[in-house]
This record gives sequence, C-alpha cells and structure tokens, in this order.
Amino acid sequence: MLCEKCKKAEAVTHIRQNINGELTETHLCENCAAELTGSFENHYGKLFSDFGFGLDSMLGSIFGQDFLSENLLSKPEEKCKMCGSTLSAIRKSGNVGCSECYRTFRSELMPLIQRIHGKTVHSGKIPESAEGEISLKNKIAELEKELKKAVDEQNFEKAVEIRDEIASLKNSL
Amino acid sequence: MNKWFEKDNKTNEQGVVVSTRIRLARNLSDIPFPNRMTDEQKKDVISRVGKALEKAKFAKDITLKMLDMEKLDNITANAMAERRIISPEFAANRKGRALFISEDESVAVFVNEEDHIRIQVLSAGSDLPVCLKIASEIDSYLDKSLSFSFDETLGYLTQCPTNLGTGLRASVMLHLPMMESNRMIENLANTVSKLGMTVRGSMGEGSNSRGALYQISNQVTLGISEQNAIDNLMSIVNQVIRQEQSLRKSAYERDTLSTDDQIYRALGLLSNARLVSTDELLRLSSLLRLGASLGVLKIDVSVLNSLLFETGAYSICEKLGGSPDSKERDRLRAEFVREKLVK
Repeated sequence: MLCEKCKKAEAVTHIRQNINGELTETHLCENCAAELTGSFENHYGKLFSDFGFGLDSMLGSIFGQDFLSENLLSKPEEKCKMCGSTLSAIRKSGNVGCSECYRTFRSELMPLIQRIHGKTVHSGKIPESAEGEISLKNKIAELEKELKKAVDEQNFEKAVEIRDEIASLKNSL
Repeated sequence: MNKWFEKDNKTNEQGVVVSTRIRLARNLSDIPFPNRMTDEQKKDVISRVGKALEKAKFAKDITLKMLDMEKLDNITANAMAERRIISPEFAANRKGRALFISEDESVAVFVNEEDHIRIQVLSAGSDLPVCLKIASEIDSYLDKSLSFSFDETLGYLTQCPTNLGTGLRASVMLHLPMMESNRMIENLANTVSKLGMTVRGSMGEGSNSRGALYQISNQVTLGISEQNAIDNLMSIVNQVIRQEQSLRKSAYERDTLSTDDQIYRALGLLSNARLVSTDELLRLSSLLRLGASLGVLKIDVSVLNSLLFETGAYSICEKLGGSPDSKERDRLRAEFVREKLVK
C-alpha cells in the first residue's frame, strides 16, 4: 500500500483514530510518519488540515492548559466516589468515567465543555423521569424557604411539619 | 425483506442525498461509562435493555431483535459495518456488546458502544425529522424503565463531553462529484465548521473521500435543541444540494457529449467487467449515480445503493461465499454488479 500523504513510498505506519466512535485509519510511509510526529509537538494546527487529529489528544491538550494555570497536579488528586476516576485519568483518555464525575469535577470540566460547545446550558428534550425530579427539586427549595420563615416566626409546630415533608420528598429523589 | 437502502424513495433530493442518519447517545446513571465498566456491568446493561425492549412495538410496527455481538462472526459483523449499520469499531470489538435491530436494519439500539445506549435511525433520502421522531419515541420508551442519566444544565450525560446535551448526532450523506471536481469541498468544510458542523469523506479514510461521497453532520450538542440542530443542518444541506445541482447542469450543458461518454463508459465497464475492485466500483458507480440524476441512465436508486452498501469485501464474502483471496472476491463482486445492472 502506498503512503496516503506523499503517494510515493510504501506505507509502514498505520495511524488509527477513534473520533466519536468512528474509526479512521491513515497509512503513512516512514518519512511522512516522522514528519507527523515532529509537527505534532510544535504545531498540531497543521495536522488538522492534513489528517484530522485524535480527539483524545485534543481534549488532553485543552485540559492541559487548565491544569497548568490552576496548578492542580501539585495537589493530591480527588477521586470520583462512584467510579474512582481522577481528573488526570479523564484528561488522559478524553473520556469521562461516569455520570457522577460530571458532578465531582464540574468546575474543572466546565471550561472544556464551554470550549467544545460554546454554550454550557442544555436546551432541548428533557426526559420524563427527570421532569419529575426537576419539579421535585423546585418544590424542596420552596419548602426550605417556608421552613426558614416558620422558624423565624417561631412557629415550631409548622416547622416540624415542613421538615418532615422535606425529608420525605428528599427520600423520593 | 428489503433493507432500508433498497426501499423506493421519493424524497431523494434529485440524486444528491444518499442517506440520512440520526443517533442519540444515552447512559444509565448508576453504572460507569463503557470505558470503566466491568464485564458484569456490561452484561447487566445488555439484560436491562433487553428486558425493556422485549415486548416493545414502535410506530410503523417497528420491533427490535437482539443480536449478541459476541456470537457474531467476523464476516457478518464487518459486512454490517459496510452496510453502514454499525461502526467499524463496533464490528471489531464485539465483546460485551449487543445490538437490537429492526428487520430492515433502519433502526438500531447499540449497547455498550461509546455510551451505554445509542439509538440510531437510518433512511435513504433526507428525512431527518422523521428519523428524529422514531429515535425520540424509542428514547422516551426506554427512559421509562431505564431512566437515563440527565443533568438539568448539561442535559444528557455522555462518556465524551463532545456529545453532552441532546446527545444528538444527525448526518446526511451527499454525492458531490461536481463540487469535488471543482475543488470546492475544502471551502465547504471551512464554512460549515464555523457553523458548528463538519464535513468528512464518508467512504474513504480520514479526509480522503472515495466515490465523491461526503457526510455533513452537526458537532455542537449542548445549548441547541434537537429541532434547531436538524433545521440548521438541513438548511446547509439544501444549499449544498442546490450548488451541486447547478454545477451538474452547467457542466452537462457545456459538454453534453463528453459527459454522456463518461457515463456510458462507466456503465459499459461495470456491465461487462469480470474483476471489479471496491475502488473501481466506487469510482464508476459515482458516474452511474450522476448519470441517473441527469436523466441519462434509467437506474433505480435502490440499485445504486446496493452497489454502494452491499459490495464491500466482507459483504461479498457474506453473500456469495468465496475465499478471502482478493481476486476471487473481485470476481464475485463483478458478477454481483453485472446482475444488479441487468435487472
């Protein structure tokens, strides 16, 4: 097989990329492959036009900027309670570990999400199951306000009632 | 039963649109994403989805049958990838994965691909709203028993942050021989990337395309509703269609004889050749597709689609047997193409 870039020499290096689950392969000769790795370090912008580049490494480099600026790597790393992922594991793979990670590492992930999508607030379909949850959360927030008001007014009988209601709503969350 | 790409299609936008795909990414909240799942958890997700879909019947009598990817052989799995139903990656790594699929293969639910669940609807022609409606119906149905992972601000949570929000990827495959020969694809790619969309060659590798087939899809999934995303995509696609059509028309008017000559030569070769490689077939069937759209040839879109989706190396092996030896495969492919064109 001939090199896909120079179309002259025999391809010896195969580059596999998995972008959003879509696998692409590029076959390159020794020279073009060397050029690719060389240019990757100084100048990965060029890659985009020639080959497209791996999302994983792109996410990694975006993460990298945030890490450097916040000097996060010098602190002991926080782990996600559900799956055990650390931020550096997420950075390395470009994949988030589980739903809980989005809560645990929200403030660190937000700049990346903003850079990918330009926006940070969902618009569109809301699943029925979450609709219930979202209205439940709103209800709890309202009751908490009422609870505070009842306590301020020293209406303890009412406060106990509200407290129990909040507890039972929180249970069903 | 005919496959999705063999169906009669009246909305084929005058021979430019080849197919349309909608994909929704969904996950369960109590299990880590596929990159951190154990084998047990993979089995668990497959069985939960299986249970949820067991008696499900969707609009247009769509039912989904389970395929255990682990039990599929290499040839069958890769032939499915060639028919565009699954990704080459899903075909290559089958362990702990399953597929629930409709008889015509237009609707599929993938389990344990890049996300726990991915719902896909394919169609020949450009029916994005119809595809989205079917996908959304299956999504709502599954959500009732699986309650998908959803965050008030980030929307549907996905393994890769690029899919957050709606989890929707909509794409349209277009045949753009004239824009390609006029070197307009790079320009198109630059323009659509500014609009949150992307263009890639859809049969080739990387940015190279074969058969002048390109795919335009949305990239941004957070902060834009499903409806707006497909409206934006369609408005771009419609402009591309008009441009390709006008180029075709002027090229044909400028030199009818040469264009006819090229198209009839392609037909002559494919109707008579005894050995046909995939590359050659893609190149020549691109001319047949152009000929059909200009009204020079009378070939059904379903035949053109068969030449495109059913002639990959594994598809030929799956249908006609034969050894993996490439010469034998090229012979069988030539035979298949001749039969399709005689009909």
